[in-house]
Amino acid sequence: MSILKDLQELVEKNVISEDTAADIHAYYQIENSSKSQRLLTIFSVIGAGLISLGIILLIAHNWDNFSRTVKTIFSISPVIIGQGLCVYSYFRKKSWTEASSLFLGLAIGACITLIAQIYHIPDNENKFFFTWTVLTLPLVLLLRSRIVSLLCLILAGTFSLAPDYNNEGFPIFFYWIFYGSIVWFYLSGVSKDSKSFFNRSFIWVLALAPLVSLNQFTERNTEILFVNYFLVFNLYFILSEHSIVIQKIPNTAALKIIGLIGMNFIFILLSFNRPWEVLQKNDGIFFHQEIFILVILFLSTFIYYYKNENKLHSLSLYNFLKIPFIIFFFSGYFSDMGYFLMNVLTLLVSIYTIQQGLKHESLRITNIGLLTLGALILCRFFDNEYSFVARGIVFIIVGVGFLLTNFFILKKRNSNAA
Amino acid sequence: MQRKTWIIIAIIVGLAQVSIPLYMIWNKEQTIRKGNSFLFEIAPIDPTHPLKGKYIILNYPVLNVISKSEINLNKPVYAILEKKENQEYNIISLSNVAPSRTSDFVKVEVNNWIFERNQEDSLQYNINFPFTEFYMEESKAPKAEEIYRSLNQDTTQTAYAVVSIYKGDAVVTDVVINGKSIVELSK
Repeated sequence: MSILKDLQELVEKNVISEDTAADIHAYYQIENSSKSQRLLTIFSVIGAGLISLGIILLIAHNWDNFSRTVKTIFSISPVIIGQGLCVYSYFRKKSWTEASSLFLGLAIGACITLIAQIYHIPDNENKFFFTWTVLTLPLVLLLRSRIVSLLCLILAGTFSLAPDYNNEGFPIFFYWIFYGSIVWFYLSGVSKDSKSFFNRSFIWVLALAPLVSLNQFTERNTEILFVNYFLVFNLYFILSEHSIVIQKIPNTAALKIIGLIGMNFIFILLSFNRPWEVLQKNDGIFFHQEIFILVILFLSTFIYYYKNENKLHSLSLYNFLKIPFIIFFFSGYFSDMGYFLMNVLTLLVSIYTIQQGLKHESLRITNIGLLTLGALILCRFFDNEYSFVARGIVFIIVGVGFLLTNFFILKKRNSNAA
Repeated sequence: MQRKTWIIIAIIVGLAQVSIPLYMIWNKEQTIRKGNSFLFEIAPIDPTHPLKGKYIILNYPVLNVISKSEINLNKPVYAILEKKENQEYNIISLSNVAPSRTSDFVKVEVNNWIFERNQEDSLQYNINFPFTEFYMEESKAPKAEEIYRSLNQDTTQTAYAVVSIYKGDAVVTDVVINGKSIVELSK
């Protein structure tokens, strides 16, 4: 490391004392050893993953020469080997934990598939992914394995996408139990090492994962998904502004960005006429799963008022947006006003976002506002038949607007810094 | 977590991880050992599963069953079988309840039903068998399909799935073309 090379020179020229040099040296020694430990874990995880996948492929070859008994022994043995490795790593070699638990997690899946292959059991994704997740999830909690928590999130997500059509499998409601356990695992470990790469980046995965599955939780009124998604994004935004969350989670900016972009994206989708046409054709019968989720999400956004010491912040209007959003959306069932009002709301919100971004000199927020405004204008142009000249001029105006605003903020920031 | 609690939970989890696959194996072995073997006429084609490897799809001819009693499609539906002399089968009836007097019945999927006008008070159900896949060694599956196709041009040739059936469960034990196992034919 270059700083270590320079230490001698710095001491000789009396820039730092010998004691300080020794301290710096000791600091980087610890840093280096923890870095090499991390690298070892990463490579062992990749190794374990590749070996497990290799075993799955070898199994998939389907060795006809072996008897059924030999094949069944083959199918169980990776699980038992994985269990042995996990126990060994827990009691003797902690650095093996991630690799061995990933191996066991994948071995469980391989074992179930091999049995399905030996007995020619046709695919049933619902049961398969449910069993795999249930048997793998305890590894996350017992061994505190981060890589297996990611594996479980993927397995649970896939399970939610394989609904139980014949009412013979497992209801996808279980997804929330799996997801909740992984969130609990994350929160229980995050305070110990809030600066780690895993804890900073896993929040992105945790926030994005339920978005893939949420659309599965509908029975009849799929249009209500617009509101449910909006409320999820609203909840993310509110959590990112909550004092307790800010204290506990290292990277609340992830929640804020996903929340803001998500809400604005829904606004743009609803600025089109098409969803409102579908809405008016709906029978308006509301006592279904999606309404239940809507109510829960709506109520959970009020967490903002619970023990929150962080009342003053930018973009506070976003907290209350859910109220007009829901009113305008449901008015769409009865009249054309919803479509019109939502367009006006989108316009106002985008201007508000730009204004807040400029006020707080935040390029990120300003650009989200600009993108929404730009998208709204451009989308309206595709809705209606304007001439090419008119469209061209609007494209240029929006483009110039982008450049000028970004330039203005950067200039203001530089002058403040100077 | 205390070490003692950890060990107890780990043992439970470990046992579950092993016993669920073992139960699956035991269940299927029961069907093979105790079940009766039936022949089901088929038309195979070969695709690939990312984890389980190569297999042939077993397509069965359209199967309509006339039932006097109405079947609840939201509950499991069982087809009660009767063996013919040549190991083929007849479906005696459909039922929502697993019969206790015989073990020769299998869970089926019902596609749709139509009202049968010719026979008074009876309904015709279109059913599917759930055993539709037969896994083979990587190199053999395409060969097996080729053999089947070449034989298929001659209508006197027949292909059957040999299926063990026991108390609602079914395991395909072999696919037979003109009396010979497809595994042997594709060697």
